[in-house]
Amino acid sequence: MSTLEAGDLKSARTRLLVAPKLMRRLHRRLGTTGMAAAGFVLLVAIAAVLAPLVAPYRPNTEDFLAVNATPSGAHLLGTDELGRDMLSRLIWGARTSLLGPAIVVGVATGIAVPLAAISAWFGGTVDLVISRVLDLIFAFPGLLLAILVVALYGPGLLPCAIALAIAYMPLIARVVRSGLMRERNKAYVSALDVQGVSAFAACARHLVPNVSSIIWAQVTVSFGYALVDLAALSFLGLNIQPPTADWGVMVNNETALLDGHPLQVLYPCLVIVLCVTSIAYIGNRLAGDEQGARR
Amino acid sequence: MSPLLEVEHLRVQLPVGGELRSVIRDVDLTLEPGEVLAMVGESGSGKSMTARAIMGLLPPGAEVGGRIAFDGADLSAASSRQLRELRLRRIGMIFQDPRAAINPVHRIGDFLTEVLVRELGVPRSDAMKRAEGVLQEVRIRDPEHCLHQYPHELSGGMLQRVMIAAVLLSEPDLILADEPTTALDVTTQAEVIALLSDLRRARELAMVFITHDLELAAAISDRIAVMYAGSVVETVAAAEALTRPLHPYTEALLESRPDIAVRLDVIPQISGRPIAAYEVDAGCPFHPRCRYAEEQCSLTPPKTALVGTGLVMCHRAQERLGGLHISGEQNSLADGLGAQAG
Amino acid sequence: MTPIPEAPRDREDLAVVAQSLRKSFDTQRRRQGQPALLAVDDVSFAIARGGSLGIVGESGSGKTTIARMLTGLVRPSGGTIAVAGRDRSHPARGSAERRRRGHELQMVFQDPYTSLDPRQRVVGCLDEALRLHTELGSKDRVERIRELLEHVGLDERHARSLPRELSGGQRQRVAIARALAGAPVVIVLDEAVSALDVSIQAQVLNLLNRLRAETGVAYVFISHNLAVVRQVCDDVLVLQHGRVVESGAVDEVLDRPQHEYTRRLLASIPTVGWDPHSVSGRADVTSRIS
Repeated sequence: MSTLEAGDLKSARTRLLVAPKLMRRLHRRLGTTGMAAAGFVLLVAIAAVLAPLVAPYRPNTEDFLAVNATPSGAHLLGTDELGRDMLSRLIWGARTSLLGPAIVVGVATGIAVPLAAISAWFGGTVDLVISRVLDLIFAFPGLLLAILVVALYGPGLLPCAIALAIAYMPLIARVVRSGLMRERNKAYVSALDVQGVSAFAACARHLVPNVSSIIWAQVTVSFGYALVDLAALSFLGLNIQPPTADWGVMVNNETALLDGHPLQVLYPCLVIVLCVTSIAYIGNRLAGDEQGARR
Repeated sequence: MSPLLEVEHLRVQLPVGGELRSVIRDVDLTLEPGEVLAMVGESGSGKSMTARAIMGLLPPGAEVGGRIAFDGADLSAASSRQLRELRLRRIGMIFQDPRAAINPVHRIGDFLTEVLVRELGVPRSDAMKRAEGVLQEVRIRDPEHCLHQYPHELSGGMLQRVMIAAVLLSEPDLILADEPTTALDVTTQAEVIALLSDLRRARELAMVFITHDLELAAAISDRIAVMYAGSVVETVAAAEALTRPLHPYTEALLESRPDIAVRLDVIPQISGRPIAAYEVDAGCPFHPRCRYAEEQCSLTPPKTALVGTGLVMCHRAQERLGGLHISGEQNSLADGLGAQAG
Repeated sequence: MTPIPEAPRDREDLAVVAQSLRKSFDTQRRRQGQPALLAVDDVSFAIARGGSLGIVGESGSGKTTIARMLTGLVRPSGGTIAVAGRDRSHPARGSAERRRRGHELQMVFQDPYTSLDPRQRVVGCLDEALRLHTELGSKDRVERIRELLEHVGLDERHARSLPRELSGGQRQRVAIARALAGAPVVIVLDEAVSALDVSIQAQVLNLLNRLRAETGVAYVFISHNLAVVRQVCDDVLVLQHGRVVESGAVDEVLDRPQHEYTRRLLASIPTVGWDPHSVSGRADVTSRIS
């Protein structure tokens, strides 16, 4: 074993990961099914980002010669009642459909984790006040909040996402807080306190990283919920508006159903279900891992 | 008289991360009716796992080899139903942390009578009377009041008495006590030990007493089995273990215990750390830490043999018994001064 | 026994001076209309620089509360604490003072399994303490970490280990190294060897004695084990129900115990020919805890 060098201080802090090691670690945490699920979600995400390159058509290119076409070489998944390519619409639709939940989860965890950390670190009255406020927000149904926001600011992705983020935040904060509380009572945290490490540094460098699997589990589960909720809002016409390609908008297509083209609704449904179950599975694995580690 | 408990060539392996790891390598024990055997060892030596193997309480996936016989019946051939029956009526177990072993939402009376009423069909009022009786037997003052209390209202020492009472209720022949006083204060420990030694005499109980404390073991038991890395390295009469330890490990354990009577400049210490059973390679498991080790100790595993009055697993036991003991003690001080790292 | 000075704040030659320390945990009991429960009741002591004081008692004696008051994890209800002549009876104001207090007094905890951050490698843990309490550059810090590891009997290959890759004894060595990192005036050791196996315990006790001789650090050694206290302490306080029942030089107290409770503690230690029935003075065999 080589001797200790200055570089060790840095690597000990940043813990750079090498790719094959990361894959092995991921496999250990997620299992084969989890890796497949993660692969699928990653594929959809890449397709969404690279939509202009990978989608065969623009989402709103209408082809009146091939209206309600069945799957063929030109249109792999067929077309809708305006002759728009279903596959291309699904790929373009992934952009808003995944961006929405990403905003929801990002904003919600961004608020929830610091709140949970403050709550757990200071405890006492601070904890009590934060917990009560969270309960209050939690009691308010998320979809209703979204409808209210839309009534105020008009339909659109951002108002809906922010409204859902506020609704999801208390749940994430509560779960993370209880994880942090357990961590707070461990002796190493007292040791940091005795050393004179600041509350912020102790939380950011030690406490929060040690509950990262709890946070990741919450992130994934919330992502799945947000995907469904935003699709529902699209379905209700409060979120993304037609003719923009969005999975929720695509599900909201009664003419296709009435005209006897159920596949046009089934495809977006299937994609939503696959995404949500994949993400939920990953979340479960992460949460289960946490429990396993505790044993 | 046939032995109450016989353990022959017990081997246990547990699955750890996809592979089987040895936790008990080869354990032989016998226990006569009414006898108390103490099993002494450090953490990971396999003493608790041996007790669990006897109770049939090993974690799922465990591979067990060898033979365990209770009162002549082979337990390895017993069905889970028979094992349950045995645990219900004939073998009791006391754990280290009574607070973890007693359901906190039940009153003491309900905890004590649950098995009697549910499993053995004793009428509730009779069961309560019997519970009161055993509480008296474990010297709880005002047992009637105690029956109506919740576990959190009792101190650790009181709860351990309740645990002992619960075990006594099923009138077992054998009690397995796994570090029953480790979590208690020293004065409380003395009381519980006094209680246990009185009870075993009054009820002619056989007991396997597991502890890491050799002196405590000597105070309660008739014989002591010292375990190291999944093997019994020495089995000897309790009094002998403290005054004439035969295995180098037993001797080193005794020396490294902080002395209450004098302050030493350097406490004799065993260098290195205790190893786990699966880490044992060729030779004697203790040889890397042993001050008497010579070449053969690292090459061939020693056999357990009768040396003097005890069974010892050491190549050099016979030789040490014949006089080398004294020079060994001198060595130990030099070792203590020399070895600091671990 | 180091006498308690009149004006502790001027006495920089004393590592720790505690005067009339009191702690009551009374919120719940007061709500129930009961009198306050004193966990620590009028405890005073002084420790010279490089000295070692044992605080002995059973569970509920208040010994851990005293440790936590010294470290600032618990605020005293009354009395004063001074470390190296500086008062710390009040919570620290500002991060600089927090750091300075951490620099003067360090703590080693009982359970080596929870006292280290499970995600932090040994070198990261020591480096964090050094960056907090010293002005050393990264090269000097590496040198100092090497020194610290050697001091506590670990070798460099342990530096990159995570806590879970170390044994209990090795973790406790890391905790001791972390406590030593900023060269503190005093280290509070709260049952620091109780969770260790006997053979490892002796190693750590020898280590503690050697470190005190070499660095001149003072110890507050909290323990329930009188034999361990005899090996590492100069003075001892015997606590019962939050009060000091006996104090003095270790040899004096253990060889000629004056108080009934000290005698009982001594009689409870199993030795050759020990009879548990000899532990007398049992007054509280009731099914109620007060």
